[in-house]
Amino acid sequence: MQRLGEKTILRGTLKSVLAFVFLLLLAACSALQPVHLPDLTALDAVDDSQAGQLLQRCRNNFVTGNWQFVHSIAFKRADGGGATVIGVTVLDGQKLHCALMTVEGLVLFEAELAQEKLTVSRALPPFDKPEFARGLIRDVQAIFLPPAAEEPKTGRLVGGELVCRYQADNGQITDLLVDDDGSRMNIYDPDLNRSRSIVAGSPISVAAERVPETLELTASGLSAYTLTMTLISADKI
Amino acid sequence: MRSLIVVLFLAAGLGFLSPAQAQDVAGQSPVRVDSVQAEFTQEKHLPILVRPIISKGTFVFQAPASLRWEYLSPVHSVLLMDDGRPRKFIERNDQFVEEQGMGMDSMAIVLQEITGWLDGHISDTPTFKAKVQEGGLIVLTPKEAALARIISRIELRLAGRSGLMESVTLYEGPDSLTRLIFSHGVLNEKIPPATFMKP
Repeated sequence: MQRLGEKTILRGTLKSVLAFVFLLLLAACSALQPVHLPDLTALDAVDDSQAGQLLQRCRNNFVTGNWQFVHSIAFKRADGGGATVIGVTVLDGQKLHCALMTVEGLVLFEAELAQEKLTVSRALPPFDKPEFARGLIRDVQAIFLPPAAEEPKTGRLVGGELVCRYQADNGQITDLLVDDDGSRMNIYDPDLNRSRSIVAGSPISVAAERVPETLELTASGLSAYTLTMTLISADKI
Repeated sequence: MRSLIVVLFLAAGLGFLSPAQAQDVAGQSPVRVDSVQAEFTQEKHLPILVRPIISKGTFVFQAPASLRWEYLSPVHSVLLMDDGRPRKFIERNDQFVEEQGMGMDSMAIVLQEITGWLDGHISDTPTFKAKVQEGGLIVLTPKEAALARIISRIELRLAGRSGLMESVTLYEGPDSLTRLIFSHGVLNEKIPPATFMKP
């Protein structure tokens, strides 16, 4: 009798555990569920002036000329780990230079991208993996440079938001939504699944250009992470 | 990573050197330091920077092994060490969040270096070779090649005979350096224990 009772309790416990595991798996799967490219309804001829204004707003989302930015960057992995560093980004038209340092000032990583050639001049652990350098440069390009694409299409998403859609030669698509409070950029890989989203907020005017005080980049997928960037200084050089 | 952490803590520890201790390098008697408090301004120079990044903060040390190294701007962070256990906190959304990893366990090793200096044994450090130059300048060069790849030398400049170090400059390359300039130094005042326990 006692053995039967133990079996019943064991079976009940097992069911609860399985249900819990199932819920966990469900939650994990939904978190990993890719977000697909939304449909776009092109602005028609009646909306010509609106399309022109939208294109201009999208262009103004990116600074022009030579700039230097310093940000504090909080890096957070999906598992909760992460660190805070200071990032320096220099854009000079031909080259993109970036450096990461500790709050205490020690340079952990420094690299330059010129004519599609990446040169890493300093990389201390844990930033010494080649994939880290490539990923960092890709993120920096996505944040600061206009998408490498022809003139974007303009249109409306299902919810009515106006969007500039850039399509690169490699199939990557970038949707840019701009308003007075900032902008949101969604980047889709050639499979049309969202790989990155970048939210820029609290824009300020520096040298007559629009510079966001806050940036948050969210990378999706198995190695998901978030970069929360707060502007320390912006200089047109 | 261990080398990296060593450098960070060496930079912190160097700020605690009193002139009396520095004079020990030149063969004079050291003076025991029980506690040190100082403010600092940090300049970060890099070839790509049009102007240095300026940080401000405070150092507090209590012998034998308690440390509070706080940056007030541009990023508010606090590095605490009490009884040899290092912890680092970053302020986010008005709350301090403890950051794990980055070789925090290795920091305890460096504590021996710092306490050694505070006992006036700068020249005895296993990590650096010390050389006294004219005008109150002490130059430390790494003994290990692994550390030398990260930091080429450290220069300590004394602020006369009555205060803390005037400045510490940590060279990572020819044009890449971090300079800490100290002010309002106070020696051997009693410090509440809570200073080293929470951010």
